[in-house]
Amino acid sequence: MNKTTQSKWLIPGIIGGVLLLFILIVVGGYNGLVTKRENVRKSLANVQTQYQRRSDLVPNLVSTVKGAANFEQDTLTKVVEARSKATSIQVDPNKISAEQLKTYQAAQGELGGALSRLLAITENYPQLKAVQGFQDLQVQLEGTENRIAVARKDFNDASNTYNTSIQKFPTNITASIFGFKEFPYFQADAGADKAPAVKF
Amino acid sequence: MRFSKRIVSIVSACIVLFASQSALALAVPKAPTTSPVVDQTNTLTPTQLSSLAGTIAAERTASSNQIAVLMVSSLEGQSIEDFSIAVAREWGIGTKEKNNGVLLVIAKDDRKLRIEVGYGLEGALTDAQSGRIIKNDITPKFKTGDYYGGISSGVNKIIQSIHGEYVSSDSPSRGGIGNYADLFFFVLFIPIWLGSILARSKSWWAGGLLGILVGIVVGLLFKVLIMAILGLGLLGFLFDWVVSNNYKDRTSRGLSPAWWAGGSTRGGGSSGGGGFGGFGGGGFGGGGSSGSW
Repeated sequence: MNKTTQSKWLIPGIIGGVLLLFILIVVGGYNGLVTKRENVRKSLANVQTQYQRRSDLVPNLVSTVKGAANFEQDTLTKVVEARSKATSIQVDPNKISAEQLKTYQAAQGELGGALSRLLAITENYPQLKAVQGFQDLQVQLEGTENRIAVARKDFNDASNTYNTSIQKFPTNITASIFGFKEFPYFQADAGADKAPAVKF
Repeated sequence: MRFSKRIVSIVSACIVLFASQSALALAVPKAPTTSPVVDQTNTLTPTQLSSLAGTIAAERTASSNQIAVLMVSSLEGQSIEDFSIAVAREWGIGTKEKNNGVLLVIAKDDRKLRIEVGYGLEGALTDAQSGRIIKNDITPKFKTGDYYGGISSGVNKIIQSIHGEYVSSDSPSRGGIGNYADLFFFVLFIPIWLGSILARSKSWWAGGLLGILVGIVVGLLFKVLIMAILGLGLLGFLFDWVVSNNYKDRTSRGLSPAWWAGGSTRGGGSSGGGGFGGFGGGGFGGGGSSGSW
Protein backbone atom coordinates (compact mmCIF):
# COMPACT_ATOMS: atom_id res chain seq x y z
CA MET A 1 0.00 0.00 0.00
CA ASN A 2 2.66 2.38 1.10
CA LYS A 3 4.87 1.41 -1.78
CA THR A 4 2.17 1.99 -4.40
CA THR A 5 1.36 5.51 -3.16
CA GLN A 6 5.03 6.29 -3.28
CA SER A 7 5.47 5.19 -6.88
CA LYS A 8 2.20 6.87 -7.80
CA TRP A 9 3.57 10.26 -6.74
CA LEU A 10 7.15 9.73 -7.82
CA ILE A 11 6.76 10.47 -11.53
CA PRO A 12 4.41 13.50 -11.23
CA GLY A 13 6.70 14.79 -8.51
CA ILE A 14 9.76 14.61 -10.73
CA ILE A 15 7.91 16.17 -13.65
CA GLY A 16 6.57 18.93 -11.42
CA GLY A 17 10.01 19.57 -9.98
CA VAL A 18 11.66 19.76 -13.38
CA LEU A 19 8.88 22.03 -14.64
CA LEU A 20 9.27 24.33 -11.64
CA LEU A 21 13.02 24.47 -12.13
CA PHE A 22 12.56 25.22 -15.82
CA ILE A 23 10.14 28.07 -15.06
CA LEU A 24 12.51 29.48 -12.48
CA ILE A 25 15.38 29.44 -14.97
CA VAL A 26 13.33 31.14 -17.69
CA VAL A 27 11.93 33.80 -15.36
CA GLY A 28 15.29 34.34 -13.71
CA GLY A 29 16.97 35.02 -17.03
CA TYR A 30 14.21 37.26 -18.35
CA ASN A 31 14.74 40.27 -16.09
CA GLY A 32 18.47 40.21 -16.67
CA LEU A 33 17.99 40.18 -20.43
CA VAL A 34 15.53 43.08 -20.30
CA THR A 35 18.01 45.13 -18.28
CA LYS A 36 20.80 44.37 -20.72
CA ARG A 37 18.60 45.16 -23.72
CA GLU A 38 17.60 48.49 -22.22
CA ASN A 39 21.24 49.20 -21.59
CA VAL A 40 22.02 48.68 -25.29
CA ARG A 41 19.17 51.00 -26.29
CA LYS A 42 20.26 53.62 -23.80
CA SER A 43 23.82 53.54 -25.09
CA LEU A 44 22.62 53.83 -28.67
CA ALA A 45 20.60 56.89 -27.68
CA ASN A 46 23.76 58.29 -26.15
CA VAL A 47 25.72 57.68 -29.36
CA GLN A 48 23.05 59.54 -31.32
CA THR A 49 23.08 62.40 -28.82
CA GLN A 50 26.82 62.82 -29.27
CA TYR A 51 26.60 62.73 -33.06
CA GLN A 52 23.77 65.25 -32.83
CA ARG A 53 25.98 67.42 -30.69
CA ARG A 54 28.59 67.41 -33.43
CA SER A 55 25.98 68.33 -36.03
CA ASP A 56 24.86 71.21 -33.83
CA LEU A 57 28.37 72.61 -33.83
CA VAL A 58 28.54 72.72 -37.62
CA PRO A 59 26.44 75.88 -38.33
CA ASN A 60 28.50 77.81 -35.81
CA LEU A 61 31.74 76.51 -37.27
CA VAL A 62 30.65 77.30 -40.82
CA SER A 63 29.65 80.86 -39.98
CA THR A 64 32.91 81.45 -38.11
CA VAL A 65 34.98 80.11 -41.01
CA LYS A 66 32.93 82.09 -43.55
CA GLY A 67 34.07 85.26 -41.83
CA ALA A 68 37.62 84.53 -42.94
CA ALA A 69 38.40 86.28 -46.21
CA ASN A 70 37.72 84.23 -49.36
CA PHE A 71 37.53 80.85 -47.70
CA GLU A 72 37.04 77.97 -50.14
CA GLN A 73 33.31 77.81 -50.72
CA ASP A 74 33.43 74.26 -52.02
CA THR A 75 34.67 72.75 -48.74
CA LEU A 76 32.02 74.59 -46.75
CA THR A 77 29.22 73.45 -49.02
CA LYS A 78 30.35 69.85 -48.66
CA VAL A 79 30.24 70.11 -44.87
CA VAL A 80 26.75 71.61 -44.92
CA GLU A 81 25.52 68.93 -47.31
CA ALA A 82 27.04 66.11 -45.30
CA ARG A 83 25.46 67.53 -42.17
CA SER A 84 21.94 67.68 -43.58
CA LYS A 85 22.32 64.14 -44.87
CA ALA A 86 23.65 62.87 -41.54
CA THR A 87 20.90 64.49 -39.48
CA SER A 88 18.20 62.96 -41.70
CA ILE A 89 19.22 59.41 -40.79
CA GLN A 90 18.36 58.05 -37.37
CA VAL A 91 18.39 54.57 -35.88
CA ASP A 92 15.22 53.33 -34.21
CA PRO A 93 16.33 52.20 -30.74
CA ASN A 94 13.51 49.63 -30.58
CA LYS A 95 14.73 47.65 -33.55
CA ILE A 96 18.40 48.27 -34.05
CA SER A 97 19.21 46.48 -37.29
CA ALA A 98 22.64 45.93 -38.79
CA GLU A 99 21.74 47.79 -42.05
CA GLN A 100 20.30 50.73 -40.15
CA LEU A 101 23.43 51.06 -38.08
CA LYS A 102 25.62 50.76 -41.17
CA THR A 103 23.79 53.50 -43.09
CA TYR A 104 23.85 55.71 -40.03
CA GLN A 105 27.55 55.17 -39.48
CA ALA A 106 28.30 55.83 -43.16
CA ALA A 107 26.39 59.13 -43.16
CA GLN A 108 28.07 60.27 -39.95
CA GLY A 109 31.41 59.14 -41.34
CA GLU A 110 30.90 61.37 -44.36
CA LEU A 111 30.28 64.36 -42.12
CA GLY A 112 33.34 63.47 -40.06
CA GLY A 113 35.45 63.29 -43.21
CA ALA A 114 34.14 66.64 -44.53
CA LEU A 115 34.82 68.25 -41.16
CA SER A 116 38.38 66.98 -40.97
CA ARG A 117 39.05 68.27 -44.50
CA LEU A 118 37.65 71.65 -43.46
CA LEU A 119 39.87 71.77 -40.40
CA ALA A 120 42.88 70.74 -42.43
CA ILE A 121 42.30 73.64 -44.81
CA THR A 122 41.89 76.14 -41.96
CA GLU A 123 45.57 75.51 -41.24
CA ASN A 124 46.25 77.82 -44.18
CA TYR A 125 44.35 80.70 -42.62
CA PRO A 126 46.42 82.13 -39.76
CA GLN A 127 44.00 85.03 -39.19
CA LEU A 128 41.22 82.49 -38.58
CA LYS A 129 43.27 80.47 -36.17
CA ALA A 130 43.87 83.56 -34.08
CA VAL A 131 40.15 84.05 -33.39
CA GLN A 132 39.27 82.84 -29.86
CA GLY A 133 35.80 81.73 -31.01
CA PHE A 134 37.34 79.48 -33.62
CA GLN A 135 39.81 78.02 -31.14
CA ASP A 136 36.96 77.18 -28.76
CA LEU A 137 35.01 75.58 -31.57
CA GLN A 138 38.00 73.45 -32.45
CA VAL A 139 38.29 72.28 -28.85
CA GLN A 140 34.56 71.58 -28.69
CA LEU A 141 34.71 69.62 -31.91
CA GLU A 142 37.64 67.64 -30.63
CA GLY A 143 35.80 66.97 -27.35
CA THR A 144 32.73 65.84 -29.24
CA GLU A 145 34.75 63.43 -31.36
CA ASN A 146 36.10 61.96 -28.13
CA ARG A 147 32.62 61.63 -26.66
CA ILE A 148 31.44 59.92 -29.83
CA ALA A 149 34.32 57.46 -29.56
CA VAL A 150 33.49 56.76 -25.90
CA ALA A 151 29.76 56.43 -26.58
CA ARG A 152 30.39 54.05 -29.47
CA LYS A 153 32.67 51.90 -27.39
CA ASP A 154 30.06 51.84 -24.61
CA PHE A 155 27.43 50.79 -27.12
CA ASN A 156 29.62 47.98 -28.44
CA ASP A 157 30.35 46.84 -24.89
CA ALA A 158 26.65 46.85 -23.97
CA SER A 159 25.81 45.06 -27.20
CA ASN A 160 28.52 42.49 -26.53
CA THR A 161 27.31 41.80 -22.98
CA TYR A 162 23.76 41.36 -24.24
CA ASN A 163 24.71 39.23 -27.25
CA THR A 164 26.84 36.98 -25.09
CA SER A 165 24.09 36.37 -22.58
CA ILE A 166 21.44 35.50 -25.20
CA GLN A 167 23.79 32.81 -26.49
CA LYS A 168 24.82 31.42 -23.14
CA PHE A 169 23.04 28.70 -21.21
CA PRO A 170 20.56 29.01 -19.54
CA THR A 171 19.54 32.51 -20.69
CA ASN A 172 19.55 31.34 -24.32
CA ILE A 173 16.36 29.39 -23.50
CA THR A 174 14.71 32.54 -22.22
CA ALA A 175 15.98 34.51 -25.20
CA SER A 176 14.55 32.07 -27.73
CA ILE A 177 11.19 31.85 -25.96
CA PHE A 178 10.71 35.62 -25.76
CA GLY A 179 12.40 36.45 -29.05
CA PHE A 180 15.43 38.41 -27.91
CA LYS A 181 17.46 39.17 -31.03
CA GLU A 182 21.13 39.89 -31.45
CA PHE A 183 22.27 43.54 -31.71
CA PRO A 184 24.84 44.75 -34.26
CA TYR A 185 28.09 46.57 -33.52
CA PHE A 186 29.67 49.77 -34.73
CA GLN A 187 32.44 48.73 -37.09
CA ALA A 188 35.97 50.03 -36.83
CA ASP A 189 36.46 52.98 -39.12
CA ALA A 190 38.18 52.66 -42.45
CA GLY A 191 39.77 56.08 -42.14
CA ALA A 192 36.72 58.09 -43.22
CA ASP A 193 35.37 58.63 -39.73
CA LYS A 194 38.66 59.38 -38.02
CA ALA A 195 38.59 62.19 -35.53
CA PRO A 196 39.82 65.35 -37.23
CA ALA A 197 43.42 65.93 -36.33
CA VAL A 198 43.26 69.25 -34.54
CA LYS A 199 46.63 70.85 -34.03
CA PHE A 200 47.48 73.84 -31.90
CA MET B 1 28.80 10.69 -9.13
CA ARG B 2 28.80 11.73 -12.75
CA PHE B 3 26.55 14.58 -11.79
CA SER B 4 28.94 15.88 -9.19
CA LYS B 5 31.73 15.72 -11.74
CA ARG B 6 29.66 17.95 -13.94
CA ILE B 7 29.19 20.47 -11.17
CA VAL B 8 32.92 20.52 -10.64
CA SER B 9 33.48 21.19 -14.34
CA ILE B 10 30.84 23.94 -14.41
CA VAL B 11 32.36 25.61 -11.38
CA SER B 12 35.84 25.45 -12.79
CA ALA B 13 34.59 26.81 -16.13
CA CYS B 14 33.13 29.76 -14.24
CA ILE B 15 36.40 30.38 -12.45
CA VAL B 16 38.28 30.34 -15.75
CA LEU B 17 35.74 32.75 -17.22
CA PHE B 18 36.08 35.23 -14.37
CA ALA B 19 39.84 34.98 -14.46
CA SER B 20 39.98 35.69 -18.18
CA GLN B 21 37.62 38.63 -17.79
CA SER B 22 39.80 40.29 -15.22
CA ALA B 23 42.91 39.63 -17.30
CA LEU B 24 41.36 41.59 -20.17
CA ALA B 25 40.91 44.69 -18.02
CA LEU B 26 43.08 47.73 -18.69
CA ALA B 27 46.18 48.20 -16.60
CA VAL B 28 44.98 51.27 -14.73
CA PRO B 29 46.29 52.13 -11.26
CA LYS B 30 44.08 51.19 -8.32
CA ALA B 31 41.91 53.88 -6.80
CA PRO B 32 43.87 55.70 -4.11
CA THR B 33 42.74 55.40 -0.51
CA THR B 34 44.85 57.99 1.25
CA SER B 35 44.89 61.02 -1.03
CA PRO B 36 43.18 62.11 -4.27
CA VAL B 37 46.55 63.26 -5.61
CA VAL B 38 48.69 60.46 -7.00
CA ASP B 39 52.17 61.14 -8.31
CA GLN B 40 53.89 58.07 -9.70
CA THR B 41 56.85 60.08 -10.94
CA ASN B 42 57.94 61.51 -7.56
CA THR B 43 58.01 64.97 -9.06
CA LEU B 44 56.01 66.67 -6.32
CA THR B 45 57.28 67.07 -2.77
CA PRO B 46 55.20 65.77 0.17
CA THR B 47 54.35 69.37 1.13
CA GLN B 48 53.13 70.12 -2.39
CA LEU B 49 51.11 66.89 -2.45
CA SER B 50 49.38 67.65 0.82
CA SER B 51 48.75 71.25 -0.20
CA LEU B 52 46.97 70.05 -3.38
CA ALA B 53 45.06 67.44 -1.39
CA GLY B 54 44.00 70.19 1.03
CA THR B 55 42.64 72.39 -1.75
CA ILE B 56 40.74 69.44 -3.20
CA ALA B 57 39.37 68.42 0.20
CA ALA B 58 38.12 71.95 0.89
CA GLU B 59 36.22 71.97 -2.40
CA ARG B 60 34.77 68.58 -1.61
CA THR B 61 33.51 69.73 1.78
CA ALA B 62 32.00 72.87 0.31
CA SER B 63 30.36 71.52 -2.82
CA SER B 64 30.73 67.70 -2.78
CA ASN B 65 32.64 67.95 -6.08
CA GLN B 66 35.44 65.39 -6.25
CA ILE B 67 38.71 66.15 -8.00
CA ALA B 68 41.62 63.76 -8.56
CA VAL B 69 45.10 64.28 -9.95
CA LEU B 70 47.17 61.50 -11.46
CA MET B 71 50.70 61.94 -12.74
CA VAL B 72 52.31 59.04 -14.59
CA SER B 73 55.59 58.89 -16.41
CA SER B 74 54.55 57.23 -19.67
CA LEU B 75 51.34 56.10 -21.39
CA GLU B 76 53.24 53.30 -23.11
CA GLY B 77 51.72 54.01 -26.48
CA GLN B 78 48.14 54.32 -25.31
CA SER B 79 46.23 57.49 -26.15
CA ILE B 80 45.71 59.85 -23.23
CA GLU B 81 41.96 59.91 -23.90
CA ASP B 82 41.65 56.12 -23.56
CA PHE B 83 43.82 56.01 -20.47
CA SER B 84 42.13 58.95 -18.80
CA ILE B 85 38.57 57.65 -19.13
CA ALA B 86 39.63 54.19 -18.01
CA VAL B 87 41.15 55.66 -14.84
CA ALA B 88 38.22 58.02 -14.21
CA ARG B 89 35.69 55.20 -14.52
CA GLU B 90 37.76 52.73 -12.53
CA TRP B 91 38.19 55.17 -9.67
CA GLY B 92 34.60 56.39 -9.91
CA ILE B 93 35.43 60.01 -9.16
CA GLY B 94 32.39 62.03 -8.14
CA THR B 95 29.24 60.93 -6.37
CA LYS B 96 26.95 58.35 -7.90
CA GLU B 97 23.98 60.73 -7.87
CA LYS B 98 25.67 63.87 -9.21
CA ASN B 99 28.50 62.41 -11.32
CA ASN B 100 30.49 65.45 -10.25
CA GLY B 101 34.08 64.29 -10.65
CA VAL B 102 37.05 65.79 -12.47
CA LEU B 103 40.31 64.01 -13.21
CA LEU B 104 43.51 65.75 -14.22
CA VAL B 105 45.90 63.27 -15.85
CA ILE B 106 49.47 64.17 -16.69
CA ALA B 107 51.82 61.91 -18.64
CA LYS B 108 55.14 63.53 -17.82
CA ASP B 109 57.48 61.89 -20.33
CA ASP B 110 54.91 61.95 -23.13
CA ARG B 111 54.32 65.64 -22.38
CA LYS B 112 50.58 65.13 -22.60
CA LEU B 113 47.76 65.98 -20.24
CA ARG B 114 43.99 65.78 -20.08
CA ILE B 115 41.17 67.13 -17.97
CA GLU B 116 38.42 64.47 -17.82
CA VAL B 117 35.06 65.88 -16.78
CA GLY B 118 32.24 63.83 -15.24
CA TYR B 119 28.71 63.85 -16.69
CA GLY B 120 27.38 66.13 -14.00
CA LEU B 121 29.94 68.87 -14.52
CA GLU B 122 30.01 69.01 -18.31
CA GLY B 123 27.80 72.11 -18.21
CA ALA B 124 29.95 73.96 -15.68
CA LEU B 125 33.32 72.93 -17.06
CA THR B 126 32.86 72.73 -20.81
CA ASP B 127 35.37 71.29 -23.25
CA ALA B 128 36.27 74.80 -24.35
CA GLN B 129 36.87 75.89 -20.75
CA SER B 130 38.99 72.82 -20.01
CA GLY B 131 40.93 73.57 -23.16
CA ARG B 132 41.57 77.12 -22.02
CA ILE B 133 42.68 76.00 -18.57
CA ILE B 134 45.16 73.62 -20.18
CA LYS B 135 46.38 76.17 -22.67
CA ASN B 136 46.47 79.31 -20.50
CA ASP B 137 47.10 78.05 -16.97
CA ILE B 138 48.81 74.67 -16.99
CA THR B 139 51.03 74.19 -20.03
CA PRO B 140 52.87 77.57 -19.82
CA LYS B 141 54.13 76.52 -16.37
CA PHE B 142 54.87 72.94 -17.44
CA LYS B 143 57.04 74.34 -20.23
CA THR B 144 59.27 75.98 -17.65
CA GLY B 145 59.40 72.77 -15.61
CA ASP B 146 57.14 74.11 -12.86
CA TYR B 147 54.91 71.07 -12.47
CA TYR B 148 53.51 72.01 -9.08
CA GLY B 149 52.66 75.53 -10.26
CA GLY B 150 50.87 74.18 -13.34
CA ILE B 151 48.88 71.57 -11.48
CA SER B 152 48.04 73.94 -8.66
CA SER B 153 46.73 76.74 -10.87
CA GLY B 154 44.94 74.15 -13.03
CA VAL B 155 43.17 72.70 -9.99
CA ASN B 156 42.28 76.19 -8.77
CA LYS B 157 40.83 77.13 -12.17
CA ILE B 158 38.87 73.86 -12.28
CA ILE B 159 37.43 74.64 -8.84
CA GLN B 160 36.53 78.16 -9.97
CA SER B 161 34.53 76.71 -12.85
CA ILE B 162 32.72 73.96 -10.99
CA HIS B 163 32.21 75.72 -7.68
CA GLY B 164 28.57 76.57 -7.21
CA GLU B 165 27.33 73.85 -9.53
CA TYR B 166 26.44 71.69 -6.56
CA VAL B 167 25.96 72.27 -2.88
CA SER B 168 27.20 69.70 -0.42
CA SER B 169 24.11 68.04 1.02
CA ASP B 170 25.54 65.97 3.84
CA SER B 171 28.85 64.91 5.28
CA PRO B 172 31.07 63.78 2.42
CA SER B 173 32.62 60.90 4.34
CA ARG B 174 30.02 58.54 2.89
CA GLY B 175 32.44 57.29 0.28
CA GLY B 176 33.25 53.92 -1.19
CA ILE B 177 35.37 52.87 1.77
CA GLY B 178 32.47 53.23 4.23
CA ASN B 179 30.33 50.96 2.09
CA TYR B 180 33.02 48.32 1.96
CA ALA B 181 33.32 48.44 5.73
CA ASP B 182 29.59 47.85 6.03
CA LEU B 183 29.77 44.92 3.65
CA PHE B 184 32.65 43.41 5.57
CA PHE B 185 30.68 43.82 8.78
CA PHE B 186 27.68 41.97 7.36
CA VAL B 187 29.75 39.17 5.90
CA LEU B 188 31.25 38.63 9.33
CA PHE B 189 28.13 39.13 11.38
CA ILE B 190 25.45 37.18 9.51
CA PRO B 191 27.06 33.70 9.78
CA ILE B 192 27.47 34.20 13.55
CA TRP B 193 23.87 35.21 13.95
CA LEU B 194 22.62 32.35 11.78
CA GLY B 195 24.87 29.95 13.63
CA SER B 196 23.31 30.84 16.96
CA ILE B 197 19.75 30.41 15.69
CA LEU B 198 20.32 27.22 13.72
CA ALA B 199 22.31 25.57 16.49
CA ARG B 200 19.49 26.08 18.97
CA SER B 201 16.75 24.94 16.60
CA LYS B 202 15.86 21.27 16.95
CA SER B 203 16.05 20.60 13.25
CA TRP B 204 19.23 19.73 11.40
CA TRP B 205 17.67 20.45 8.01
CA ALA B 206 16.37 24.04 8.38
CA GLY B 207 19.73 25.39 7.28
CA GLY B 208 19.48 23.42 4.06
CA LEU B 209 16.01 24.80 3.39
CA LEU B 210 17.21 28.31 4.17
CA GLY B 211 20.16 27.76 1.85
CA ILE B 212 17.85 26.70 -0.96
CA LEU B 213 15.65 29.76 -0.42
CA VAL B 214 18.65 32.08 -0.39
CA GLY B 215 19.93 30.15 -3.43
CA ILE B 216 16.73 30.93 -5.35
CA VAL B 217 17.01 34.62 -4.52
CA VAL B 218 20.71 34.78 -5.32
CA GLY B 219 20.20 32.68 -8.46
CA LEU B 220 17.50 35.02 -9.71
CA LEU B 221 19.66 38.03 -9.01
CA PHE B 222 22.83 36.74 -10.60
CA LYS B 223 21.42 34.31 -13.16
CA VAL B 224 23.19 31.22 -11.83
CA LEU B 225 20.06 29.56 -10.52
CA ILE B 226 20.84 25.85 -10.46
CA MET B 227 24.30 26.28 -9.07
CA ALA B 228 23.11 28.73 -6.45
CA ILE B 229 20.29 26.47 -5.25
CA LEU B 230 22.44 23.35 -5.12
CA GLY B 231 25.49 25.09 -3.73
CA LEU B 232 23.82 27.20 -1.07
CA GLY B 233 21.34 24.47 -0.15
CA LEU B 234 24.17 22.04 0.45
CA LEU B 235 26.18 24.66 2.29
CA GLY B 236 23.23 25.57 4.49
CA PHE B 237 22.55 21.95 5.28
CA LEU B 238 26.17 21.29 6.20
CA PHE B 239 26.35 24.46 8.24
CA ASP B 240 23.24 23.61 10.24
CA TRP B 241 24.38 20.02 10.72
CA VAL B 242 27.75 21.09 12.07
CA VAL B 243 26.48 23.80 14.40
CA SER B 244 23.55 21.69 15.64
CA ASN B 245 25.86 18.79 16.42
CA ASN B 246 28.31 21.06 18.16
CA TYR B 247 25.56 22.65 20.25
CA LYS B 248 24.08 19.25 21.21
CA ASP B 249 27.50 17.88 21.95
CA ARG B 250 28.52 20.75 24.19
CA THR B 251 25.20 21.03 26.04
CA SER B 252 25.01 17.28 26.61
CA ARG B 253 28.48 17.37 28.13
CA GLY B 254 27.32 20.12 30.46
CA LEU B 255 29.47 22.76 28.87
CA SER B 256 28.13 26.15 27.92
CA PRO B 257 27.43 26.54 24.22
CA ALA B 258 30.25 27.78 22.03
CA TRP B 259 30.67 31.58 21.96
CA TRP B 260 28.97 31.97 18.60
CA ALA B 261 25.85 30.17 19.79
CA GLY B 262 25.68 31.99 23.10
CA GLY B 263 23.60 34.90 21.94
CA SER B 264 25.90 37.68 23.06
CA THR B 265 27.09 39.19 19.85
CA ARG B 266 29.50 42.00 19.68
CA GLY B 267 27.93 44.47 17.29
CA GLY B 268 29.24 47.94 17.01
CA GLY B 269 29.11 50.30 14.09
CA SER B 270 31.99 50.69 11.72
CA SER B 271 32.87 54.14 10.50
CA GLY B 272 34.23 54.81 7.05
CA GLY B 273 37.98 54.57 7.49
CA GLY B 274 40.64 57.24 7.31
CA GLY B 275 42.16 58.93 4.30
CA PHE B 276 40.10 61.30 2.23
CA GLY B 277 36.96 59.15 2.12
CA GLY B 278 37.41 57.54 -1.28
CA PHE B 279 35.45 58.34 -4.42
CA GLY B 280 31.74 57.84 -4.86
CA GLY B 281 31.25 56.05 -8.19
CA GLY B 282 30.66 59.01 -10.51
CA GLY B 283 30.22 58.41 -14.24
CA PHE B 284 32.18 59.78 -17.19
CA GLY B 285 31.31 60.07 -20.87
CA GLY B 286 34.42 61.49 -22.46
CA GLY B 287 33.92 65.17 -21.62
CA GLY B 288 36.89 67.44 -21.16
CA SER B 289 39.93 68.36 -23.18
CA SER B 290 43.46 67.20 -23.90
CA GLY B 291 46.64 69.06 -24.56
CA SER B 292 50.40 68.81 -24.72
CA TRP B 293 53.37 70.98 -23.90
